[in-house]
Amino acid sequence: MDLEEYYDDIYRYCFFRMRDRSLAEDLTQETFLRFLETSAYHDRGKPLAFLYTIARNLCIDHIRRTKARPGSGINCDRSISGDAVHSTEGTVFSPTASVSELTDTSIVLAEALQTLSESDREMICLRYVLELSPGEIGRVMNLSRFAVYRRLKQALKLLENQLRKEDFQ
Amino acid sequence: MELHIDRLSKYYKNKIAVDRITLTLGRGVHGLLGANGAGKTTLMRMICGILRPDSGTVTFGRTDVSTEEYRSILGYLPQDFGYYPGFTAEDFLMYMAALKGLRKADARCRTGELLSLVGLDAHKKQKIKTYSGGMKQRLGIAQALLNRPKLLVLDEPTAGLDPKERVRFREMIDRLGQESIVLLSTHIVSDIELIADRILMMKDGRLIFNGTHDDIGEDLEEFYLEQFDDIRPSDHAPDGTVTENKAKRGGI
Amino acid sequence: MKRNHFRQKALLTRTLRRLYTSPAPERKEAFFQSSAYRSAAEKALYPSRIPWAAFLQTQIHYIRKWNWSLSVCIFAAAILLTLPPWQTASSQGNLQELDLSAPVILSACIPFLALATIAEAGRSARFGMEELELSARFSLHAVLCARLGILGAGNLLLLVVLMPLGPHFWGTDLSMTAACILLPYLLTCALTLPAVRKLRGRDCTILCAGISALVSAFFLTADATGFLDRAADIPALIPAALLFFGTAAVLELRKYIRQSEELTWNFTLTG
Repeated sequence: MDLEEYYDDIYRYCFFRMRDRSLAEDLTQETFLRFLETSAYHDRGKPLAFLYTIARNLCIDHIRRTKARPGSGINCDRSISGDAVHSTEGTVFSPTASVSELTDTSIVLAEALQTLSESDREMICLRYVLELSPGEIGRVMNLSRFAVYRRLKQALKLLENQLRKEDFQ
Repeated sequence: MELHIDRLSKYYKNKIAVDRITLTLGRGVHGLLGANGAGKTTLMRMICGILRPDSGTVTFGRTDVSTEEYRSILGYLPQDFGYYPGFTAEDFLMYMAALKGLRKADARCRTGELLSLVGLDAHKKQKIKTYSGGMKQRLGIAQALLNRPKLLVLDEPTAGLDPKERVRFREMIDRLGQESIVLLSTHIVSDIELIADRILMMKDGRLIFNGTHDDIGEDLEEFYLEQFDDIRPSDHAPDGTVTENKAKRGGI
Repeated sequence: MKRNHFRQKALLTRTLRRLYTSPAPERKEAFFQSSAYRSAAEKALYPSRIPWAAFLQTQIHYIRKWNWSLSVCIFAAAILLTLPPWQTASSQGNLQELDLSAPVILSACIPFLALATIAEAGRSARFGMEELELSARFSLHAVLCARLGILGAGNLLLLVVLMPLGPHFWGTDLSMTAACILLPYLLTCALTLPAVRKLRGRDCTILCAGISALVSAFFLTADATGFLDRAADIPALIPAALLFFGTAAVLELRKYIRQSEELTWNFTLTG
């Protein structure tokens, strides 16, 4: 079983969530080690969804732990979501590209994304950026496949509405 | 993790096969010496969970001998074993691998590795019934290693091996002893001398000696003879042998 | 409208991807070479529990094919026996002259089905594989359960499938059909299992074969001698017999399997 091919995706997921490059890599590695330790993984078919689940839980746990200690995990990337960015409610799964790279339309989209809830953003990320299937997303986020379809549709609609306001079309 | 044997005993109708043996084995090669009937095989079978002791316990770390977990880290080569007719060496190893819980891909990989390790690669597709005694023994050693055991129990593993195979075997055991607990029984003193870190001697079901080569201080062979033949050094004939007991020296 | 929507979605996806960039990971290769990963990967090759289903699957493969052929033959024979002239005609017909009625022929074959299953289970003992199998993670005990379970289930299925043939084609009622189809099986099991438990080698094989032959012969002659008919007349005798031998077979089976948990005979007291 070759797990190396999944490293990049898990890393990106962690980065989008935590916004800290080396933290993301630490969590990615921890994910893989945890994955190997869990004996039942052979029975779960493709390991990808399971890897994501572990990564997700590790990230959530980490935030919970470091929330108690303020001022930790600050990473000063300049991104469109704010000046100094660290993992708070507002920045989780927010776009990570730096302002200079973007066109006007992208900025509008980025702002539209901020109007969504964090978990909707996560879903959008998993679906369109990391390219997971709705079924897999369901497994990762502990939702039914239909709930995933519904929420994605809703989220997309919301985004479209925002964009239409700006005459995107 | 160590193997703890505590007051292990096995009684048969008119004989005590193993008499309250207490022993702790750590990593390394442990040689078990003793005459036929001394209880070596019975002891080894109890260590492998094949025979239920009448009293006493065997544990590896905290795992009891009767559990599946214990067996999953165990590798055993019995003194004598059979095979299903029509099996080739490959079939045999794949079958044992399935029993040891290895996944198919891993089993195939491991089978290939071990067949080269014991030098049966060229004969892997031949039926076991065409094998010589030494080849079959090597196959037995290979199956014992399938699950990368942390505890390796070998009952008379060098019986039937020619000198060259014996040397190869000793080197392999030496390497294995660096990472796992190896217990091998034999009545060939020279084998023990060369590879065992610790020497155990059994007589009439009891452990009469448990120590290293240094503890013995003298020639191992003489020490062995003293223990088993109840003969003092002064009884030896000038040429170093005691004629009426030559038979007992077996493969020396 | 729809095409627009589609194009828009594609555009949306592209834009999203551009929005979510990430720096390349730096420590990937070092991680996969590290000892922490390597040892975890190696340990993971031996999961602490393998599902029984996977084990059963491997054992099915090792059950010799002719066991299944035997079942198929018996099934085929049963089908053949449903064709005329084996069907009970109302009162005329050649059937009166035949000493054997169809179900009884089946009864004569079925003991050998049981024999084959028990023989298959006993292969470990016969070929000296017991010690090796006992020390494996899936012990001899598991192997026996697997073999007996798989073949036993197969046999039972076969017998159950054969049962309706009785009332439908041979004019026997349920009780008589059970007597012809189930009873020989249970009887053979109940008698041969203790034999395999207590004996080894040649003696065992001969005794078991003998038992099966006897049971077979018994049923073959039972109809001719009118034994079966008389038995059918005694109310509840057949169900009682089924219950008795069924229970005996189950108890013997349990004893057999329990015995397989350790080496019980000592062919070498030496060493």
